[in-house]
Amino acid sequence: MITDELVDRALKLVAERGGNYEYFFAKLTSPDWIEPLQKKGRFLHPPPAISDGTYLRFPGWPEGGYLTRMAPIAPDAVFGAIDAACYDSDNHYVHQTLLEIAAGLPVALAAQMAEAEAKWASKQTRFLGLYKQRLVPVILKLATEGRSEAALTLLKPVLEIEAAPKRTADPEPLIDGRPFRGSADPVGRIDSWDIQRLLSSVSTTLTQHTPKNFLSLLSEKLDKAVRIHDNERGNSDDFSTIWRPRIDSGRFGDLMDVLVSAVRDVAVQIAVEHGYEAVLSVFKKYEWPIFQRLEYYALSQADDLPADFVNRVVLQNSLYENPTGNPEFNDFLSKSAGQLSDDVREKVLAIVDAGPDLGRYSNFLSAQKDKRQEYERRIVDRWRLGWLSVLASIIGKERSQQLETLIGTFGPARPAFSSGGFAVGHVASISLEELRKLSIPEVISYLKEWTPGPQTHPEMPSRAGIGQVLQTWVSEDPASFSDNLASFQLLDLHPTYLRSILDAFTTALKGERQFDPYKVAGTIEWLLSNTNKTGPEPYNWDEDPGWSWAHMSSARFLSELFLHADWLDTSRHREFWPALKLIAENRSPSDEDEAEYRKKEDFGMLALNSTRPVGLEAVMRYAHWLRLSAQDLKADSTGLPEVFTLLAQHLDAKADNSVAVREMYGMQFGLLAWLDQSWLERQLPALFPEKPRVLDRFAWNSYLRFSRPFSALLPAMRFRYKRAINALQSNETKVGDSERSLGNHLMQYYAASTIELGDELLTSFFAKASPALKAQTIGDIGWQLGQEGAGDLDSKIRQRLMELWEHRLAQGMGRVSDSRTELGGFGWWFASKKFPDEWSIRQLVMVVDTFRYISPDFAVVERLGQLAPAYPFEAVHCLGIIFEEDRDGWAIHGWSENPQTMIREALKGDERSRTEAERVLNLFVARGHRGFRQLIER
Amino acid sequence: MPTTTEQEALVASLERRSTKLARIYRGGLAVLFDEQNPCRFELAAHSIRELMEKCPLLINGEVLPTGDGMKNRIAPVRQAYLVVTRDQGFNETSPLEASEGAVRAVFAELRKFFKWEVANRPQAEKRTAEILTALSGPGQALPVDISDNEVTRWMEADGYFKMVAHNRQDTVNRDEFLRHMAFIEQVLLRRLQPRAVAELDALDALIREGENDH
Repeated sequence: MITDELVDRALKLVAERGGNYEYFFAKLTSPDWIEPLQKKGRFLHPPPAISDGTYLRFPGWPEGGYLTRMAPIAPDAVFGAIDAACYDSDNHYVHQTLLEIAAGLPVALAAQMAEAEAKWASKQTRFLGLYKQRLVPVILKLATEGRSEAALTLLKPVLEIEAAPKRTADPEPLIDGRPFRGSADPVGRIDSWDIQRLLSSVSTTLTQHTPKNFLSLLSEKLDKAVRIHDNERGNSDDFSTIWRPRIDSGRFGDLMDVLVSAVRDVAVQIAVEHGYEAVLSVFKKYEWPIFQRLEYYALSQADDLPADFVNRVVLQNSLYENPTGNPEFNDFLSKSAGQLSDDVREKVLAIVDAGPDLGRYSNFLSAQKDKRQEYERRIVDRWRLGWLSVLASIIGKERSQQLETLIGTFGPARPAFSSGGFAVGHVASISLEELRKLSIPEVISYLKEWTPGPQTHPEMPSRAGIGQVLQTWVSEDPASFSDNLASFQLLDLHPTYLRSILDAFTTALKGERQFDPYKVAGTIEWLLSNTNKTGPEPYNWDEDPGWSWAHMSSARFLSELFLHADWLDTSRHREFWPALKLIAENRSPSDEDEAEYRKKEDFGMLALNSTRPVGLEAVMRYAHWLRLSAQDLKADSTGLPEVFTLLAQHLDAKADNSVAVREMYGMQFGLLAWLDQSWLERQLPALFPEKPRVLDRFAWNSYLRFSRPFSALLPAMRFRYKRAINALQSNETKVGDSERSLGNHLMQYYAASTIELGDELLTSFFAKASPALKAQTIGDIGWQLGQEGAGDLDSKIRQRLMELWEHRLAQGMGRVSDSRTELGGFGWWFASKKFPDEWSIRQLVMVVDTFRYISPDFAVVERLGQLAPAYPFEAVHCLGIIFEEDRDGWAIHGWSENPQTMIREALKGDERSRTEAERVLNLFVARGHRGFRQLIER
Repeated sequence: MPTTTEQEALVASLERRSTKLARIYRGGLAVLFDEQNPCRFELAAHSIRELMEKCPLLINGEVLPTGDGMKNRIAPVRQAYLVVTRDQGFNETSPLEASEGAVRAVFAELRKFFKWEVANRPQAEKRTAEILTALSGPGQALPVDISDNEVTRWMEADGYFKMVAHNRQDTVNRDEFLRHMAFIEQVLLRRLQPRAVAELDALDALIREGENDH
């Protein structure tokens, strides 16, 4: 028995927390609660939408859920419980629920709800969440149970259309003194995709039960969309053959497309099931050509159209004005032609024989003057070609010959439908097979003599296309080409060809087909010696704009070459030097490229894509090769003075002030240190100069990003680390890549015992770094240790890292709010499993107790789940705090079953563990995770 | 008067999240239960107000003093009052005519102040609602009528403790004081240490009882 006293007791519990509120209404199974709850005003307060300025939330409506379940059981009570205020709610979830309730009520009540809901809907500009999906069952119910008009009333606001805001506030440009208006965009109140889904769910049923009204509704929306698209240009043409070439297939899925398809399907269904007259009576209201096209499409789908009607249609002269204006009429005519009576057929052909009304072209023809007759004939012929093609099945022998002649002159009639895009690549004037048949002199002769025609089309043959064919051929037979390479050393041979050949050799270095690299180097030497003067080279799609591309290909070849020691003979190493020396002096990057690049600094992109820096990389790799392979050569600054002198010269800002070159040195810092540490130490002031700062900055950032720290070099590098630390901003909220790398370098120096906790570098870093950078630095240690493949942690390093952590924790305890983010990064350490369990969990407890923050929560919770059997209290205690601090409530979804594991383990433990587990379990249940309730015995 | 079980539980819950708030609350309880202290209600009221005001600490939120700007807003009133009383020697028995302009100025400042106070109150209520919602954590919120009622009662209690703390009552009604205090304690406790499982069990029992006939 549900008494007022019982309801009061229940509502007192409901008022305790939101979770109880939700649970109570979710559990009720009897409709007898409705009346007493209604008396207490419980259905008067659907939750409002919540806005915090950046987002809108639509809270659930537990009472609504209960009423939904009760709707089929006690419809009158449910209907009576819904207060009029509910329909005014700004919470879209409430309106979804109202629709769900309506779907469960008898149709008379559902219709009343639909009318009330439509009033709210008509004031909305967007429909959010699942509103459109919830409409479907209500509309279907209303339509199938005799309340079709209510169904359309409910549907109408969702299909409302308006013009999208103008893209620009600028006034329309004037052309010939008149404002030029482009097309405008119609937009719906739900996305076109959702309109399509919604209509596909309700169209068949609505067409069955209220065909004409439903078609009228959709046509009204299409008409409005076309009017918006037309943008008051005052033109009676809707240009629909452009935006919808064929009615039977859509193109872009935009709103106009979706509406045309929807109107089409309904019109066809009506024409087939109810007769064509209803379709015509709706469409006759609209003058846009798209409606005429839809009409003929629907007619062409209908069977058994009365002959009188078809005759009347096909004999309308106005329909023959333009053979491409109404493709659907053409289809209709083509389909009907075979069934026309002889006399009607003759009349139709007579229309074609009579030709077009040239009066429509009078302005154009007047302008042609003495060519007027020629153009008149062309217009007539093309017009006739179109209609004879449509009527091909009935035109007889004579007109068929006429059609063939016209096709011979103009080609087939233009297809009404085309779609899709195409891609273009380089095209060669000669195939690989044809090229292979030529001797090398013949090839060179062909390459010299061939000249491209005017590039009127992207697929015209070009030198780039021939270069690609040549490249393929060289890749197949590099030995033969390297033997004959000298033949290509011709200044009057277009640069595209030699560049293509060099690219092929670079690729071949990574394969197994042998060739003579010394000959290639010789050609590069020739190339760089004879083509070093290059001017501006504007980009050209069809061929190399000059020799600079060939220079870059030379640098890439040389840089790649010295990674393949098997190809090389150390006794012949001097043969490479002339080419290397020349490539290291190349002018690329240009001053303009440098100036532009200095504005953005893009991760070494200029160093890797400019000839001189890549050439210097080749020089460094040359020394690397010799150091590894030449037994009788000391490959350092004493054994290879020419190499190191050249490298040092490029660190002289007066000789080379390229930031791209500095970047390359920063990238290859480790290699240079390995080649000759003392030489590099002597270069450091030049590599990281006080002035100009820009050279220092590019070299330093490149070093940080691409090189690991070298303990042996730290004494010499200390000045630069200090400079970087001094430049840190303690209030910076973001962590840049360079700053992050700086932190990582320092941690690695510490782990390797190169510096101690009290070292100035460490103390000043932690004093000057922002909380975000400190957090990143601390977190990165744990993250790197936890990576797969990180291997075992050396015990000495482990001990040092533990001391570092304890030091940071002790420092942070005195400044809780300042250190929260940094020390929360311990989560990665904890999750890495690289530290003793006992130590790890004690530290974790201290961190979460003090700072109430740990990151990343998912990895920490997973590890806690593993440690729970051994540390049940600590695990569940930390879990509780992490859960409490998850303000959004999303984190738990990444925790898998670990919380349950921890709570179970703690419930099996001592009293302290059990008490803590129960407390935490209650927290979970209070926030709506009611499944946790099963974990406790009651 | 000993502390109740709920009060001990609240101390423990506050301790877990903010030792500062736990200390403020414990201090309030200690002085309240010190029967020898003649100002115990006033001092305890001050602690409870501090606890209420600093609740955002429990959610790492920003603490805004309730009646934000009150000191600034009352300053012009005070200044106008000092002009009348100190500069012009006006008192309850003085003839009005001589100081009419200055007295009117006091009224004008008072009108501005009360206007601001009325406008500011909804902001305070909104802030309170946000804090109480945040303290509940994510998940289903309370029905809007119930949460509005809770906020109203919270604001009433705040006004009451303000009045007591500032000695604006000649005598403090002990029961009234404890009633307001218990409300604040319950609001906090049910958020910081929910008894969700027991409450759902009780709801199950109630529903069973109501639907037994079905």
